[in-house]
Amino acid sequence: MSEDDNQIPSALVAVGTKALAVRSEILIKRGLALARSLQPGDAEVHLKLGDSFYRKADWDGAIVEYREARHLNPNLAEARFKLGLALQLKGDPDGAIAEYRVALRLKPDYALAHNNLGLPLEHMRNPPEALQEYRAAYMLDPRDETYKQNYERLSQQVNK
Amino acid sequence: MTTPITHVTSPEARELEKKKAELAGLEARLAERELDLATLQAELHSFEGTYLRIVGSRLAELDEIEAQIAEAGARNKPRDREAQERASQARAQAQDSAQAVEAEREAGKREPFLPSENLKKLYREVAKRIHPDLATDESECQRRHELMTEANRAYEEGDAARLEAILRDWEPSPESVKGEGPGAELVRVIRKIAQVEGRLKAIDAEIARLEESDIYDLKNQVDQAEEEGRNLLAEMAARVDQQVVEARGRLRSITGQGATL
Repeated sequence: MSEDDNQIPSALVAVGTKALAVRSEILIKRGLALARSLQPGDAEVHLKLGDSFYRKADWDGAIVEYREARHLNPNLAEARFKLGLALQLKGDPDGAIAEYRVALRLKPDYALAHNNLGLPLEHMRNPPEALQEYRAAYMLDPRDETYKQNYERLSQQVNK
Repeated sequence: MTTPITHVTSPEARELEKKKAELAGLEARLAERELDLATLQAELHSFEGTYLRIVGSRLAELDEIEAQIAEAGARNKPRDREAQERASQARAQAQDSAQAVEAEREAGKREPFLPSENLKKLYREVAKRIHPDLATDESECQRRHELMTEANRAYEEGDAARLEAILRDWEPSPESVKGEGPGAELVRVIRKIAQVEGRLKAIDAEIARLEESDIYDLKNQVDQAEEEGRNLLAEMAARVDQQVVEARGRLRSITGQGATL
């Protein structure tokens, strides 16, 4: 058998897949947009919608939903954090830093937000401040390997 | 003193036993994953049909009116190239939407896909016995392929009798017993293990692809709304109906008459 045989055999792709073809794709996309516009004003709903975009690496879509969640509940640290992350991935470090900082004001023991805030700070050549954030993340959760590595790595660089 | 009788087995035979046990485990997992994939595909297919019937048909109606509006605008401005272009795009969209809805209508109304435990058990059994990746020669693989296609269709249609018939009529071809000695058998088992592992990876990739699709997302939203006591498809239909009424009004104001559908 050739390597190609490890691909999905056409016969096994059930009849169902055929209906997922291009012909109805546009109608489905429009339905999705319509469904989203009908979602109630619940920040959690928009967080979940943002997560579904995030999983598809659709940062723009995720940003729209996380912003909506932020709008509906400005005190939701998770929305701030997730928005920061999406902005960071989209290539907006300033926007990301601003959101992470708000997330940390709302929830000072948010270890992941400390760690993630350290990343753009480090890349924007502010290692002392980045180190402070990595350290805070590490102190909050010393068992997390990533926090530990980030802290130790930058600590060595700064103290050289 | 008696000497205990020991059954002496060759290293190949021992290895063969080990590999056979490994293959048996993988076959069971493969059958389960095939069931997961077939179920997900059938659920999405069924949901897509429901969506197209309830909401898609209304969107197609809306597109038809929008096309008529754009065409009326283009007729009023025969030298306006943008208006002509808009009309032609609107007409193309209306045709695509109408075709998608028509294709669904021709396929006939599908009930929501709710497989019984018995149906799942039968499908799992078929996948376990007949799976094409368990064949080691080309013609056998082809025969298994055809049967699996039939089994997939039967599963999606909830046809337990057909799955039972496939199982009843199934007889492995001689390829499964040919070859001599544990050495040859070992090679075949190792080969099957590689094939099954390859297929498992492909199933995982296909499930991940489906879970990232728009139809999956849409279905999730509808299911989630249902858990909250809402009928999201009905809400969507009502919203489009509203848009249709508005569009008819606009068309009437342009042409002095209603839409001709």
